[in-house]
Amino acid sequence: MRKLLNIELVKLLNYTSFKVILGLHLALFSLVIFVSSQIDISVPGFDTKNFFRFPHLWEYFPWIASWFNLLLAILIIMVTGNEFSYRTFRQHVIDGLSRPDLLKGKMLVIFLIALYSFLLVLVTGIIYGLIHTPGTALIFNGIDRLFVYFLQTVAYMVIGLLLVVLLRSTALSIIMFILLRFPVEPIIRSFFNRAARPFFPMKSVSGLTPTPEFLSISSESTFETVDGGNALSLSEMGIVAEGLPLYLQIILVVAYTTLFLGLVTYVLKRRNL
Amino acid sequence: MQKILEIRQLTKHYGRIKAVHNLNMDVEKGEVFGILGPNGSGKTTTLSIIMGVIHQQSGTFSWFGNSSGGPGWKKSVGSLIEVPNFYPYLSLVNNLKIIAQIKEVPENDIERVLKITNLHQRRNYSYSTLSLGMKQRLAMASVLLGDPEVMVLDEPTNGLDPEGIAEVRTIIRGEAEKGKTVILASHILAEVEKVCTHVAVLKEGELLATGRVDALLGGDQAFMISAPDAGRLEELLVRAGIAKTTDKKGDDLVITCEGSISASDLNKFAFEHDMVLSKLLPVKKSLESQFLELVK
Repeated sequence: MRKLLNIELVKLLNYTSFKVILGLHLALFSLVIFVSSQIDISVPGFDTKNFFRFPHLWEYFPWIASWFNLLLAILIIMVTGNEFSYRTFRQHVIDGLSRPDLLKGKMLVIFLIALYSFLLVLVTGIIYGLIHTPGTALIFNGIDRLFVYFLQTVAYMVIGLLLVVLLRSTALSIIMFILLRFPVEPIIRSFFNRAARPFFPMKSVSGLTPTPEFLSISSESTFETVDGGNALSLSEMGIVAEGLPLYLQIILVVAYTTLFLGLVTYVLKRRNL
Repeated sequence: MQKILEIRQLTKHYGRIKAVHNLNMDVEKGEVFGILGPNGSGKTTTLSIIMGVIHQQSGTFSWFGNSSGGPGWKKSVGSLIEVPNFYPYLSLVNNLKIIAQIKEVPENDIERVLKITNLHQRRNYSYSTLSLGMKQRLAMASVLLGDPEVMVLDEPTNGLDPEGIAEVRTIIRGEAEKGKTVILASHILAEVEKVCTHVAVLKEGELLATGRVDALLGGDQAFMISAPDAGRLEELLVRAGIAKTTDKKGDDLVITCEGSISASDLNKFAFEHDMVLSKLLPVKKSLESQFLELVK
């Protein structure tokens, strides 16, 4: 594993596009967080600063970070697409790597990138939380959302990896990824009944970081419905579609990720390089 | 002799095209083994299969007497198949670092191979800035990394200038003299003739001939002769079964005989039949003529 890590690091750290996209990801995330932190609507009973206080920020920050997962998926598509266009996967096998090693190398890259984005959200979250939260007792309360976000970035990148291994073309894979995420899967989903929709791959992955309950978080009071529900819940108001329970969503995404990795392994093993 | 590579009934078809068909071949330790064939004869496909990048339809091959090659067998094999494949944005050193990591070779070996291939001055240049010849040299450098026991080279002189070709030839000869095994695919026959001890000739994926280069060039012997009555001499040589084929070239006659017939035998035969030969020259057969005869 160390050998594979060293090999991948030589490739990544000298690749300008990798550094540019990662820098862009960092800049865009930091900018959105900074700009939204400047919005200060504070009236009695309602305060937007709650998004930057523990524990609510662990719901808000991963949601913002998930907007930029596309860049991370593009990154893995680019670095893997290079291996096909430069025929270096072929050369690696000639030089002594096994075909499963090729996949292991790319999985290491996926984990490295996911770890980077995890740490980015964690560090940014702690900084903003410490600034805006009176008291620090609840720093790690609700931080499990961040691990769910980690799973989400891994899952997105695995979908990107599958596409580029199947298509062997960076440009085509990026286009396919975008089409799959925006018009294609939503259109296909629309032909199914509401109950089946959250089970689609892209939907289940994006559902891991649902839209935060803005009204509930901003509000300093709880408003209950007659049946005991949250009167300020966007999903209960029908503004945001209700998703699956989180545990089911996690199981679903882990299952899809495993399936896609199995497919990548199969394709890499069977195909001529 | 230790068998380095053993190929049995290897077959790879692309639709109706027989890239490789029932190929059998053995390479032993210390041989400089040339694989000859016109374009599309299956040389690269064969090498790609034995290096594990293309799957064969049927047949087997084994490296070092082991069907799986044994653990880490590729560390003992340096290969250049088709064109060099490197990362264009990486420097020469970084490209070689990746291969050194894969082969688990100490990084200080990179300096050695860069010096051998005369690329040391450009070690920090990016690969994309190299000329075709330099790219080929870098590929040779990657082959030499870790001082492998076996070298597999597919058209290693592609894109090289005459000086580069001579350098590659020197490297191959040098490695062969050290007792290394070299498998060299090429369609440059003079190249193969100069460096190879053994040869296999392929055509349309099938093996036409294999063996030692000198044995392949041996066999029939050719002579260019001339005599005042060339017509009668030709008739006598054919009738006596000495000349297997004859070919008139101006006033001269080129005949091919069994390998056991010498120039003095021919001179004696002419003298015994009251003829004096005004010209008697052995014609050296080249690998090229032999190859062209085989693939005709």
